[in-house]
Amino acid sequence: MERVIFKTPKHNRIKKRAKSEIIVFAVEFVILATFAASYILSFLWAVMAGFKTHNDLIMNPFGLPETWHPENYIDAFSLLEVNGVNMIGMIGNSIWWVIGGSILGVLGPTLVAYAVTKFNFIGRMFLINLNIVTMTLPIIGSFPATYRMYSALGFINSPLILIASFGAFGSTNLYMCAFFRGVSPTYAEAAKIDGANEYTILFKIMMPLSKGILIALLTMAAVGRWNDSNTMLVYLPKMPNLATGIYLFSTEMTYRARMDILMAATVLSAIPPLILYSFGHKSILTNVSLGGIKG
Amino acid sequence: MPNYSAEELQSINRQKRNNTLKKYLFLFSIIGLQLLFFVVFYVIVNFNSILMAFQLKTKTTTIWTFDNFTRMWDEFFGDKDKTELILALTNTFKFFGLGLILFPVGFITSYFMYKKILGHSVYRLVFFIPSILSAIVWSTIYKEMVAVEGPVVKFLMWITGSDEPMILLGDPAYALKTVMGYTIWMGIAGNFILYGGAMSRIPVDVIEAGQLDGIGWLREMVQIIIPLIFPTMGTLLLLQLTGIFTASGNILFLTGGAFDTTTISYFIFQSVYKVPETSNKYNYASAVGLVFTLLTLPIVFFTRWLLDKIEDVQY
Repeated sequence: MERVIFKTPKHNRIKKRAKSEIIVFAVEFVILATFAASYILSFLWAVMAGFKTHNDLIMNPFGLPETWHPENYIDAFSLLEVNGVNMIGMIGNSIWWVIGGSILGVLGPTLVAYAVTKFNFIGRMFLINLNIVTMTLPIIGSFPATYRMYSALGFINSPLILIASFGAFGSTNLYMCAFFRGVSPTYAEAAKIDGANEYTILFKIMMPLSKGILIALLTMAAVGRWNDSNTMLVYLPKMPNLATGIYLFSTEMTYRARMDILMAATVLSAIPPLILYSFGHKSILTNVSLGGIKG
Repeated sequence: MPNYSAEELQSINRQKRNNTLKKYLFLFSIIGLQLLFFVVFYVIVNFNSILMAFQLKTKTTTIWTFDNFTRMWDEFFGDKDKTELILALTNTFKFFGLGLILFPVGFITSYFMYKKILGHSVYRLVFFIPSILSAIVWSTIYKEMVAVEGPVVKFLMWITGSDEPMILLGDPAYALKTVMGYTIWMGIAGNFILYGGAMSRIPVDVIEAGQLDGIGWLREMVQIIIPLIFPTMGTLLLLQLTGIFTASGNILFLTGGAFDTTTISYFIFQSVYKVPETSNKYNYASAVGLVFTLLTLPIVFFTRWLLDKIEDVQY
């Protein structure tokens, strides 16, 4: 039988906005538009600053360039150098840090979330509560002990530090638990009847079903890692990524003479996360949700 | 229940045992390594951190002592008026207070975006930009904005009628406020993705029923939206409150902790950054961390108890 949907005209369903409401919306609009404009204009200013000479940037920071210097964006690759690592090397460090860390950082908690939501086993509730405890209890001051542990394991200035990214808990675990709870058990049951083992169910059914949220979490993890400078500053000072390199360059004396190069490098460093976000933002906005953590 | 022979029962039990064993082997293979790393990088590290708080290194050996705690006590209650730790704690509270103010601001911003305020789809994209570009990008831009020749100082001089330009990031009178200004600039739309996701799942009928009853935006926000998204809001509030001693701003890139801008978490970061790992600064930072973690515990338990009292709305 054909379903008939009755629709009431929109103007009947929803009342017109009151005058006071219009004023509130107008004020909020001005505030939001001002902040949005400040972000866009600030970034455009940085792009323009990268086309100036150092002196032009100091003398006339907010005007158009006297002469445009697009070569700054190429020179940045050779002139931005910190601890003997140039910009190409920094990008290389950023890439392994982003790819390795994001995949391990999302995969680890995802597998734990899958286990605690889809299986009954001894210690299951303990793991669920442990995640909540580690998330809500901020351990302050474990930084020095972490450094000593990494040092003892040979992680300082080594890509081996990626191993520590393969975690069990955190917000990724929480997001994935919420997702897996919503996945019907019939998929796994049907696959089992067809003779699939647990690995087939996990990697050929559950993972493809989680594609949307995994893309969202991987995008967020990748952007976070691309911009991560604190970890690299402390644990990988000889292997700076681009974010760390730009910070260190800005603190060195050369910064005083080549602020144009700093701005060009800063803008170049923003391109990969912008590209990542342009591909992943729909997944983030539609898939990422956080529920309660009672218990 | 069908009657099974002893052999059949034995076979069924064997099958059950095999299935259980297979299940545990599978579970071990997918979560064993993560749990091992959790023990190494969380449990052992934090246990070591507690031990370090009670240790000091001499030239030849490590001694067990309460000196780190007595030093901390002296810093807070000793003769000196303004120690680094007192300053760090005061600033941490200021950043925590700012976070509490920005918490509802982020929610209200998300609400108006949910209500499809003019330009909402643009804001959805633009307000994520602070999160996707590195803090070094924004702090470099911000430093230029608040520099002596920058527009912010010119505006302030115009407002105050002063001829003397302020050195906003280089003067203790202004530095912390300027760092807080950066936090506000970057934090206006905090958590809008999580709020937006929660609000988008509210049934349209509920909102429309309220509108038919003639409720305004404020009642809709307070009496419909907040109760319906409370699980999300409660979780974020809990994380906000438990971060009382870790609240901080972009100190590293803006002031490097100078001009009276340091916080507890920056103080601990500074104890490790560029400091040899044999230094006793590590031990003192561990003691400071331990004390503040213990002080956080009642806040965590009280907040969780309070949130558990509030019943979730099912829809």
